Amino acid sequence: MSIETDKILESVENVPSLPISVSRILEITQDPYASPNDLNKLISLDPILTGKVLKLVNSAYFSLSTKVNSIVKAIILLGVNTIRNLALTTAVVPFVEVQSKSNWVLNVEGYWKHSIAVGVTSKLIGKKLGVPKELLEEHFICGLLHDIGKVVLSHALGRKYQAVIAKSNDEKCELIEAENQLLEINHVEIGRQLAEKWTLSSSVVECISYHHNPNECNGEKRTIVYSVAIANSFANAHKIGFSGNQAPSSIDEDLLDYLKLTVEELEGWQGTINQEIEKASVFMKII
Amino acid sequence: MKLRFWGVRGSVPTPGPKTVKYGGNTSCLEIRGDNNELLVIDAGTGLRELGNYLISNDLPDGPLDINIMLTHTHWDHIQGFPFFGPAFIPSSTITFRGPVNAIGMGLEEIVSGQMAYSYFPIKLNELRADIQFKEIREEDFKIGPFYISTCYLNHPILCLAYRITCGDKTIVTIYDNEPYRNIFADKKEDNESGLDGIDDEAIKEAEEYVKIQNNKIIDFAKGADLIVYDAQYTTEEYKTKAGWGHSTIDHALEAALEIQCSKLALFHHDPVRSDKELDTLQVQTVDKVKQIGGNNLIVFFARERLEIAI
Repeated sequence: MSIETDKILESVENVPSLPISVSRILEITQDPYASPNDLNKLISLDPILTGKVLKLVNSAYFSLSTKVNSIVKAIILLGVNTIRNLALTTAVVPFVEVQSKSNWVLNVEGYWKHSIAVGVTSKLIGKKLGVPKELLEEHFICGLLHDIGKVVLSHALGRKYQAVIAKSNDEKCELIEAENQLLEINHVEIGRQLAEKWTLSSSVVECISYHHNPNECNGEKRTIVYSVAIANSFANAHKIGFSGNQAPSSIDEDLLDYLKLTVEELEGWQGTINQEIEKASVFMKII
Repeated sequence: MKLRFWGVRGSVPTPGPKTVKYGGNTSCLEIRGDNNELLVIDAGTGLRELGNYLISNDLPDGPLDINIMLTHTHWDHIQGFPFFGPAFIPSSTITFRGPVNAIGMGLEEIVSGQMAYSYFPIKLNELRADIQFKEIREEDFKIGPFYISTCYLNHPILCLAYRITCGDKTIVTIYDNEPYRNIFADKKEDNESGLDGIDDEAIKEAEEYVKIQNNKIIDFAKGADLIVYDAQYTTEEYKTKAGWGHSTIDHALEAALEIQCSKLALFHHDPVRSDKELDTLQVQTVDKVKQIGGNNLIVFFARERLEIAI
């Protein structure tokens, strides 16, 4: 099967926000008294919305002299109203346009929980490592966005991607292997291309690129890439959320050693991670 | 370089017996280079009188080529344009520069929108002058002898500070602007629906970023000889106006001392401010500058027709 990545990436512009968050987006973005905290939480808890808002804020349209790498900074810089409008137009309008033919073949709620879990865990790892405060939010965002390529493929390919998920399920192989076998592209590559197209930060690009093969990352982003890779394996191992991968690889001990972390430490955070997901679910009105 | 004020009032024109001395027209500055080259900042209602002046003073020497730089597109910064005489003269060339807009409307659409037939009898495309629009961002460019840089400010709409250098002199405009502030600390979420832990972190992150952004504006203005700064409110008034996008006189003083400029023009006077109040504030402000050790700083409230040479 020949995949035209340009066409797939073009279709991304119409990828709606996660269906589970749209009603909440409408509620908060249409509230003239929405607080910066509400807006921050709303956007930060939705991988697609986060990516799209950061893409717009960092676009040539504003030509900001320094890159904005978190929603808090975007809100301080451009104000609640501007960010609220960006969120509304990027999330809700495409949703209304495409909802009738929405191609969600991933389990939406599972995908969302997995993304949040990886974001929260990556941030906890960052805290443990003493990452400066101004970069902690980037740890969260990198975790949140690591699998965004799956949304792209799911949306662009629909049933074809369903077959990929089924293959991974039937043969108990990693989802990326099934993608490689059935498609000429995988979620890592398409996610990387999307992040570059959206001019997201180099941390986001590298975390997406290397979350399945972190050992190949040798640059200055190694700490954040390893954090996200560990967080991803941890969430998969403990079945926190589900993002279509039936046979995930286990946590790489070498990465833990490099960051001077232990499995026990990660296990100890499980309560906190679940608590954060629960709070996020309440906020997004998912439960 | 010279600067002359044609409009100093914020928000709305305020004609009347209480504003005769400082003037009631909204924002408009005329800047002249060493060889009388012209640059205009903002097209508030002060632009009408400037237009008349240009027709009688500059037009006899040849066609008018006018560059108007808009800080932003709120009414009080564009409303003078429909009454700008040079725009009705076929030989004139007028180039607007102004910030892009986050709501997706172009600069031309916004400026010409005020000339829709319901509001004004002459449309933009019926004006005789050659009129161009250029959207600008944070960037550096040159107009004649003027080297110009821009920097985003904190206002409810995208708004630009201008740094204008001609020869070895520099003027910086910092209006409309409210110092960035930590809006995340304004109101804590109720814990029922909030992610309390993340909120506290957002507050801390915002605190750091606010400092960075405010320092960025100070750095942008460093080395200026004259600063024209938003001073719409007193500190007392600001208590109920936080978030409206304007500064206090104290904010302006604090910034000027950090920038270490020699002259500070307090600008964008609140519409409620009478001549008498401004005179009183002038005395109080000069005293305050002395108290806080700003002996080298000349501070004054801008008034219409006041000309400053630097």
